[in-house]
Amino acid sequence: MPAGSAFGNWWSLMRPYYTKAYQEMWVGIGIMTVLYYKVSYGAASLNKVCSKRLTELSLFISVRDLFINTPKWFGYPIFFYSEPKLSLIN
Amino acid sequence: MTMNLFNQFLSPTFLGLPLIAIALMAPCLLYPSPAPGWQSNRWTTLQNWFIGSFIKQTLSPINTKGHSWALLLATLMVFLITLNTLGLLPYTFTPTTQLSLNMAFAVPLWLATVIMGFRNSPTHALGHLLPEGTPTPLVPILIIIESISLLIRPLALGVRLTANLTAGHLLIQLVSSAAFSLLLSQTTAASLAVGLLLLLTILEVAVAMIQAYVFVLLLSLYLQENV
Repeated sequence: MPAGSAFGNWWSLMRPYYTKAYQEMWVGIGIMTVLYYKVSYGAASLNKVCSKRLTELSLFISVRDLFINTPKWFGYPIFFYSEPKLSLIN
Repeated sequence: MTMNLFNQFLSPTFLGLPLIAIALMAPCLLYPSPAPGWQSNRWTTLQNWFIGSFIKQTLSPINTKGHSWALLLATLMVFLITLNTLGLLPYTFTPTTQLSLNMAFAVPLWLATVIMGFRNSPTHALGHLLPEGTPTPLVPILIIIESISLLIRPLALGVRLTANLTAGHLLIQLVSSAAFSLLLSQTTAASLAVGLLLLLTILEVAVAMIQAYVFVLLLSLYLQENV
């Protein structure tokens, strides 16, 4: 199948890069994925406990609130704490 | 009615479906693919010449160990320069105005250079936190300052690209809106605004290419330090 062989051809060329040369890149990609998820969807976790108005404010909520559901052993740094901020654009 | 200048930076959607993936992948369709024959056509030759000379210049100060980053740096340069210059066309969306995209480029690449440095030679990597010849009383404070400057690098890298492109697009929109609104009532002022717009557009084309180059150059410098 052309689609299957296209992926196979691509992977045979790129495999040494992704598995050997750029190993350190995956750490940063994982961190950015988690951060992006937290910023984009972190407000959903507040929906259950807060009112609608507070949930709207959560678009610019503190980073500490985003990590509130992570296990305690994760140990989010204390200096991330800040109060919820209002949006400046709207 | 106040004009919303930031609508141009909204991520494009069509009937609720995000088009950002198409905005990111479509520019690669503009480039010629390698020809099956042994000799390529003029466009491919030009493309190969550009990539070859860029990589030769970028990788010449870097150790052989860092040459595995050639593919990444070349791709990044071509990608950023394409997105930046295509975004200057009217009614096009510039993905590099989004801080999320630029930080998604900057953080993993910078962190990869730092991790690489600590993996290969941790003493040498830690030695970068204290410049040579520092007076002894200044050592603690300088280590803190150098650590902060190290940690601020990805932020600076991402925000530099975002701010430059966003500011340029905003200026173009402001000046073009002024020229358009003054066109019938004050034609002289409108013609001055059009002249300014022309100069600004030339500047923005230069800024688009320079910012892409600066991004990749700084990454190659960080790589050079850690390899």
